[in-house]
Amino acid sequence: MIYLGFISFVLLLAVIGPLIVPYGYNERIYGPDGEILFSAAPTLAHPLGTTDSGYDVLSRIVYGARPTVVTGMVSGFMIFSIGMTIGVVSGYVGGRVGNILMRFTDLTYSIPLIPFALVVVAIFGSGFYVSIVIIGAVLWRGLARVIRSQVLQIKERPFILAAKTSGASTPYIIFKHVLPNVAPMGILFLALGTGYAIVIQAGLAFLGVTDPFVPSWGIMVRNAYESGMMSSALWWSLPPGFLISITVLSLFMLGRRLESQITQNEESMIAEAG
Amino acid sequence: MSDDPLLEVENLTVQYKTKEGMLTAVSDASFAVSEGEYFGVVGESGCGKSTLLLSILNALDSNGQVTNGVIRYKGEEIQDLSEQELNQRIRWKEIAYIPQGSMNSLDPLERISTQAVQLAGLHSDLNEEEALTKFEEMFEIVGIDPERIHDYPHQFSGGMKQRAIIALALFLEPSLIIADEPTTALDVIMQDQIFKHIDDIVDRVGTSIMLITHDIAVVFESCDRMAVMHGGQIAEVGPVTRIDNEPHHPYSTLLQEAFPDIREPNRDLSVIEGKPPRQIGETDYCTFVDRCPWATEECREAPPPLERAEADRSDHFVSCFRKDDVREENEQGTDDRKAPNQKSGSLANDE
Amino acid sequence: MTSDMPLLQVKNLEKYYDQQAGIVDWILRKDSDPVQAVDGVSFRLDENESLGVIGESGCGKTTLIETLIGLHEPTSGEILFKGTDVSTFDKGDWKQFRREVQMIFQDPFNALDPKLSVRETLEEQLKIHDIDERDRRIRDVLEQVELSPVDNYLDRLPKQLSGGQKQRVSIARALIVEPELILADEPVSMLDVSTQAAILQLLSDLIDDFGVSMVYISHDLSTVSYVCHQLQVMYLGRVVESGATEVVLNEPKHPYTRALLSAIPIPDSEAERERTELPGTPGDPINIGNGCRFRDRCPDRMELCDKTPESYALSTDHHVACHLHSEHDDQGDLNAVSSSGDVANGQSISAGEGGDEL
Repeated sequence: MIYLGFISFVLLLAVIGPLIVPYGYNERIYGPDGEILFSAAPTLAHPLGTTDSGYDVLSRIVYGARPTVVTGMVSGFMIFSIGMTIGVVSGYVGGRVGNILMRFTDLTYSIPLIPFALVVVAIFGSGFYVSIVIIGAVLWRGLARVIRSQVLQIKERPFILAAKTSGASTPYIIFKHVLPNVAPMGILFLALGTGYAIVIQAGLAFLGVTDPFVPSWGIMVRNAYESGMMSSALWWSLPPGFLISITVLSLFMLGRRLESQITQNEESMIAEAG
Repeated sequence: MSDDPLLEVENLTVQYKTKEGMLTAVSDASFAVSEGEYFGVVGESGCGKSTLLLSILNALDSNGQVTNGVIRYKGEEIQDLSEQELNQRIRWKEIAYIPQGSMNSLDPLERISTQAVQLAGLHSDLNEEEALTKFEEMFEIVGIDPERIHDYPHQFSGGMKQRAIIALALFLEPSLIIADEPTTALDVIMQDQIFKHIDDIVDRVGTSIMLITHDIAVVFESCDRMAVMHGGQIAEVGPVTRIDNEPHHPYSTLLQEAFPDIREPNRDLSVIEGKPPRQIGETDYCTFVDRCPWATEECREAPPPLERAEADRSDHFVSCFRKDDVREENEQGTDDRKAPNQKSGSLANDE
Repeated sequence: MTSDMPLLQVKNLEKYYDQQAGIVDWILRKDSDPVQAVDGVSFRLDENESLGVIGESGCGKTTLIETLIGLHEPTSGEILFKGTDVSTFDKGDWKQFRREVQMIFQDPFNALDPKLSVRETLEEQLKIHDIDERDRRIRDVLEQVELSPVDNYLDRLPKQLSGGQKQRVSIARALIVEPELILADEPVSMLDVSTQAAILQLLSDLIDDFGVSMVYISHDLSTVSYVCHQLQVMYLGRVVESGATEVVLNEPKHPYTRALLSAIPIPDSEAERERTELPGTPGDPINIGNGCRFRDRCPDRMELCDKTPESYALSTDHHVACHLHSEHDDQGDLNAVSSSGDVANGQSISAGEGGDEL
C-alpha cells in the first residue's frame, strides 16, 4: 500500500507540481543582500538549499517529477504495446511469422542499451524524448518473450480449440481469449519495465545523453556531479537520487504484488480442480 | 499375518491453515493395516484420502498439521518424529511411497541405479556395491533385466518406468508401501499390468500395501480390506467382501451403484449429487448429509461415531446413524429412500 | 437430402504427421518417416446414431476427431458431411459446418475460458453464429443440461463450478447452436464416478430425445454402452474391429478388443478375473511397414500376421481385421478355434515378464 501511495504521490506532483512550487526551476534565488545564493545550505525559506547556479533545489525536485512520470509512461507504453503485439502474434500465429519476430527479439537482446543510446544520440542529437524512445524501443524484449511462452501454453488449452471449432476468427480468439488470459503477466512486466526504464533514463541523463534543460532528477544528479560538489552539497545531490530509487523500488514492489496475486489465483484454481 | 497391526491410525484429525480458517481435511479417522495386508482407501476427489496419506508419510504441506490423534507404526507413535528420525528410520526403509503420476517421478537426468544408491545412502547403511546388488534383485522381482539398472529413465517404456518405481519402492525392503493412485490417467491395459506387478509383490515379498484410489473396482478386485472415505470422515472400514456384499454406509452403497460393470453394460448407474463439502472448522456433523437420500436431522447434529456394523463382527466398522435402516433396505432390495434433497432445489450441496 | 444419405461418411481417411525434425537430421538432410496417426479409417454415421471410437492413448482417436472437425487437413481420403466432401467447402460452408458440428472436450478444467462467465461462454457461440433470442436460448440450454435454477449459474466463473458442472457447461456450449453432430472426446474420463453417470445419461438423452448424432471417443469400454450404438476399436491408427456395441462387447473377435475388455476391473470382490497377459505398450506408428500392427503383442500371433489383414465381415454388423477370422485361410481358422474359448488366454507368452523392452 505504501508503494502505491508513493507512486500516486509522484503522479500528483507531476500533474500539479509546477502550479504549487514557490520558484521556477531556473529562477535564480537572491539572498537578503541582493546577491545570488550559490550553493546555499538548507534554510527555512529553502528547505533543500540551492544549487551552484542559485536555483531552489526543492522546486527543481518538484518539477523533476514530471519528466520521470513521462519517461515511465512513454517507455511503459512502448514496452507494453510492442512487447504484447510481438509476443502474442509470434506465440499465437507461430510458423514463419512467429520465427521472424522471435529472431528480431533475439536481435534486440544483443543490443547493449547504453552504448546504443550513445550512438543514436550521436546521430539524432541528444534530447529528452529521444532518450525515452531509445529505451522503449529496446526494453520490450523481455515482455515479448514471456508473453510468447504464455501464449504458447494457452493456445494449446481446449477452450481455444473450442472457440476455433465453433468458427471464431483468429483476431476474435486473440482479443477475447488470449489477451485477457495473458494480461496479468503483461501488467506485471509493464510495472517492472517502467521502473527499469526510469533508472536507465536517469543513467542516460547522468551520462549527458539527454536534454540538459529538462529538469529531471537524473539531470539534477548530473549537475551536482559536474559542479564537483557531490559530497559537500549533500542537500542537492542526495534527494534526487533517493527519489529515483524509491520510485523504482515502489514500481518493482507493486509488480511483485501483482505477481503473487496472479500465482495465488492460479493456485486456488488448481486447488479447486484437485 | 500377525494380530498386531503394522500401521494404526487413531482419531486422526488433520487441518490446513487457510485464509477462511482451519480447513479440516481429515476428521477423527481411525483404521489399521495389518502386516502383509493389501489395504485400499477409496473416495472421490476432495474426500481427504491424499491428506490422509501425506500425514502418514509426515509430508503435509507447511500449512497443514495433525491437530488430533495418533499414527502408530509397529506400535511407535510417528506423527511427531523429526525429519531426521523419519529419514533415518522410517522413510523408504519402513514405509515406501509410490506417488501419483509416478511415471514422471524418476529424475530424468540420473541413471536409475544412481537414484537407488542415493536412496540407500540417505535411508540405510548399505554401501554402493551392496545397494546395487540389492537393486538388481528388485529389478528381477518386477520383471526387468537386472542389467538395465544403469539405464536412464528415458530408455524405458512407460510400463517399465512404472516397474522401476515399484522396484525403488521395494528396494529397502519396507514393511509398508503406500501407492497413491498409481494408475490414474493410464489406459486399462497398462493399469492391469501394473496391478499385476503389485499383486505379485504382495504374494512374493509379503509387503503390506496401502492403495489410495478413486476406483472401487480395483479395490474390490485386489485388496483384502478397505476404507471408504467421504468429506474427511471414514464412512466404512472392513473386509472388501463385506463392503461389497453388505455395505452399511449409504455412500458405500451409492458408490457401488454408480460404478459401471462391463458384465452388465446396461445397468442403471446411480448418481451422487453434489460433492464433498469444504469444511472450515471442526467437522461436527456427517459430511455426507447433503448428498444422502437417508439423511435425517440427527445427521446434522453430531458426527456419527465409527462403530461395529453388526454387534457380532469385530472387523467391520461404519459411521452412520441410520446404518441399520440402510442395511435393511438394501437387503430387502426396496428402494424407498427419499429423493436426494438436491432435487428440492437446495444448492448448497452443489458447491 | 435423401433419407439413406449418411450424415457423416469417412472414406479411407489417412492423416500422417511429419516428425519434428531435429537439427542433426536437417543438416544430414535426412527425411524422417511420418507418424501414421490415422491410417485408412472408414465409417458411416447415420442421423441420430452414435459411434464409439475406442483405443488406448496413441491409437489415433484424437487425431481422427480433430481431423473430422477440420483442425487438420487429411493426408488422403474423404470426409463427406451430408454428402458433400468437406475439402470442397468454401468459407460459408465452413461456417455452417462449424455450427452443425460441435465438440465436447475431455478435460472440463481446461475446456472453459477461466475469464469468462457461464453466460459469456454461451453467448459467444450465439454471437459467432448470429443467433437471436440469446437470453432465452441460454436459459433453455442450461435447463436442458440440468444446471438449475439457471440464475444461480449464469454469472459464475469456471473456478466456481465443480468438475461435473463444468462438463455440463461444455455440453451446453455445444448444444446451444442446435448442432446435428457432436464429437465427444472422452467427456467423462476425468470426472468422479459420482457424476459420471449423470453426464453419460445427458449425452444419451441428446441422441435419443434431441436427434443429435455423436462420435464418442474413449479408452474405456465400460461406459460406451451407455452412449454408443456402434463401436470401432482402433489400434495404432487402424480400425481392428467394428460392429454394434452389444456384439462387440459380447463377442469380441480381435485379440486386442478381447485384451481391452479383459483388462477392465470388475467391481465385485468375488469375481475371479485374470490379469491381462498382454505385454508392453503400443509403440509409435512410425515406419511400421506392413503386417498387422498388433502382432508384436498378440498372444495369437501367426506367420501370416506379417501380411496386413483385410477387414472381414463376420456378419452385416460386425467386421474384424484379423487373420484369425479369415475364412479362406485354414491355418487362421484353426487358430481361431483354439483361442476363441478364453479371453486372451495367452499361454504362449510367459506372463509378459521382460517382454516389452522396446
